Amino acid sequence: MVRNILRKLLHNKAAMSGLAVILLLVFAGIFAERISPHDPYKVDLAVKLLGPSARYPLGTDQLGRCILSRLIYGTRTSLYTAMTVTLVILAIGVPLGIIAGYIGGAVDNMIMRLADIASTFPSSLLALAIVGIFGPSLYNLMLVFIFLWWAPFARMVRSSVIKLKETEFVMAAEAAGSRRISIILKHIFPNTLSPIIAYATLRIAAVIVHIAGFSFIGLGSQPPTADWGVMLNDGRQYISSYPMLLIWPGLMIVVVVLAFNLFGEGLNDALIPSSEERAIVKETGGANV
Amino acid sequence: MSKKTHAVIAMALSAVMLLSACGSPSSAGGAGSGKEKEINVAIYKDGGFDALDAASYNGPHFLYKMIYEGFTEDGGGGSILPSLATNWDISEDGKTYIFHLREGVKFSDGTDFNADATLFNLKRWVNDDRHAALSSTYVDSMEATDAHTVKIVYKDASYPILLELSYPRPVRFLSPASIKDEKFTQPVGTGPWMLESYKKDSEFTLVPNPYYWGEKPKIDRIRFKVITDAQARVMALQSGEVDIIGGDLVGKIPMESLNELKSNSDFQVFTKGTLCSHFIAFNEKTAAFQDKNVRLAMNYAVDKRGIAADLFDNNGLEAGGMYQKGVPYTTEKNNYGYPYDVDRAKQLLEESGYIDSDGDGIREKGGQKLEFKLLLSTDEFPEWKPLSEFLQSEFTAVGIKINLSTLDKNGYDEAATDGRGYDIALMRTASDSWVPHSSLRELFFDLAGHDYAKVWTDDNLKSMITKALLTMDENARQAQYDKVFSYISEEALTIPVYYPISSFAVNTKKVANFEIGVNNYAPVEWSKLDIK
Repeated sequence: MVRNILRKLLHNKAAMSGLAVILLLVFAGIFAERISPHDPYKVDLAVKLLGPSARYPLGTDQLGRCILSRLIYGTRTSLYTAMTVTLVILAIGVPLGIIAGYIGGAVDNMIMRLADIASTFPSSLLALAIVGIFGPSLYNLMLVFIFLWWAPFARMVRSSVIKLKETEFVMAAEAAGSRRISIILKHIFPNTLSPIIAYATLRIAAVIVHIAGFSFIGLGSQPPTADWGVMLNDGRQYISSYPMLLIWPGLMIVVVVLAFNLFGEGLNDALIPSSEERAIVKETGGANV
Repeated sequence: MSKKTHAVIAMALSAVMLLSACGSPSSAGGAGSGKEKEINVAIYKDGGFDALDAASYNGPHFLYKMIYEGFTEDGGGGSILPSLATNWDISEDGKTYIFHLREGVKFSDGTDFNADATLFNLKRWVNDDRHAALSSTYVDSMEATDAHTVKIVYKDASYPILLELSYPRPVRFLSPASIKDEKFTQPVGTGPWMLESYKKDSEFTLVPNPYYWGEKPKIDRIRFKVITDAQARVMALQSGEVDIIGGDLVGKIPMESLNELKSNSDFQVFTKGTLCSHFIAFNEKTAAFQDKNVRLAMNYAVDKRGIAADLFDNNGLEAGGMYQKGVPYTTEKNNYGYPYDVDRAKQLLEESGYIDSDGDGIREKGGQKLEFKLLLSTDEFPEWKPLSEFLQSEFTAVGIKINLSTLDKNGYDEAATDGRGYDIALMRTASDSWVPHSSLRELFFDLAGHDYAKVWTDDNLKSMITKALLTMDENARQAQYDKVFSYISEEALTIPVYYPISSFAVNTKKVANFEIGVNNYAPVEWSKLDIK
């Protein structure tokens, strides 16, 4: 089974190139101190707005900071926030989905109504409201996305749990008198993972785009944080005179989102045998939420 | 205001115009003389016409000046020109002013301007603490001695009274017919322009006032388009959507676009110095700022020359004292700043016991970190964005952490006057005929409805300023002002950051006779503008 999936994945060139980019960026984020040519926060007006050179491979910004170094540190900000948000969403959504699906009844009803509320709430509006009340910060934004985006995970898990409950091996385990918790951990949880993994990968891309978007309008990461959205916003004033200030961070966002989407779809194809279910993940998981 | 009222007023206006068509002077160009001459101007915020009462502080300053007139007008360089008052007599003791009003002046709704209309307006704003920044608001008595003469007796003799009467607000005259049931309805004045149409937050048009007594505008319409984003204003000029951008109070050009526009032959850039300074204010409620060493250290920590020369490419001037050279009563000796000296800054902070003991790069004393919130808005001054980030790095270098709080203009104004929303804030002084006297009152006197001042509350300073304002002898007044400015400089009550230069970019292929106005509040000689 696992070998089968791996073989499918390894033969998917798009997914593999996506994975390569992701690994490269994760590596860059982890070793940012080592590989950055300069301190990304070092302001030096004497060297502002320079073009690419040996000293500054991608040039400098309006305050004389090294653009390449800021992009590398920005990787850390983007991936760190996106992965944290996605992990927390998983930690909330998956258990809730299993409980709802397995126990059913009033508990199911309550959890699903909560999920309804979370998924009908427009995330951008809530983000604006939270930022308006508590002030702009990356953490407030992360909270908003965690608060709302657990719902689709809970739904997906719930529906596969309901299906699994009817399978012979679960019924057999129940008949054999296994404890509920061990049935969940041994038989149900592992079988819900496949669609979740693919979906979570796609969701990371969505979080990156959203956080960058909010940072761009000044409501996410705050200057001078090295963040792609902040860099885009900084560069905005120079769009006609120094367009590279905008192009670099924009390019980074495009590349990383594309990488996660390609890899996520590859995972989706490899992990989920039924084309019907694949379509569901693709439709709901893309970055353009 | 509802659309219905607009319509009613418009109908009434046109009826009046029809009836008086033979007698009234026709507007420039006139109907049916071919294509109308129209110029489009970008403005950074809404005109606020639904509340542009002459005695209010609602819309942009310069609109008051286009629509309303006062007794006097600022002629630039300290001169005061007659406007609705043709001449005036001042009593020996400097308290009684007799204004002889211009005869035959009509408001743009066709009603007469006379002593009654004058008193109607004066009563609406005198002795009101909202205008505490003005000396001319404290009146003992006033009366109309005949249809065109008004006598005002002030409580105190104060030297800037005539100057204040030239201000765009609140001492200008609104048509009494515009007040219905004590509520403001329409901005109707005696000035060269009148409002034609107004779409809130989108655009508004001004046309010549057909009854204007002075030199008439040469064009038929100015269309102001509200474009809040500075970069979008530049693009609007480049695309031909607007013909004029710029001006500190109209719609500032971002510094980085200025160099680009200068090198573009389609446009001409006009610049003029100002008497304004941009500075950082300390919130006195933040405990650390009660320590003069901290204020001084932060002054030493900022590279003022770097800001003007490198950050702004010399599109601004290096700051010295709180006020620019050339502001009346300032001298090299009484109005000075502090040089850029990082070591001195660190030393001062250490003397006060602020040491980075936990190695996080931020100094602290008794568990209190030197971490401050810097309030700013980039709507009015887009260059405050790179400036704030530069300042952030300057203060980090001496162990002070700065968090930026960038708000929109309304949020900023609220936080700045509320006095609670920040530790330090980027602010500007007034300019031109407002400095120094009104500016000092505005920044260091208690805000209306509060027991603290906008910038720094200090009873000693307040009484020094009051004395200077009430001293009628020129030499004695200079001596008083010496004390005021020396105190502000010596105590490091602010951090002067840079002095701006006012600039405009004009599509000179279309627009002719562009001239920058005498002051910030009359940014452009609107009446002289013409089409090529």
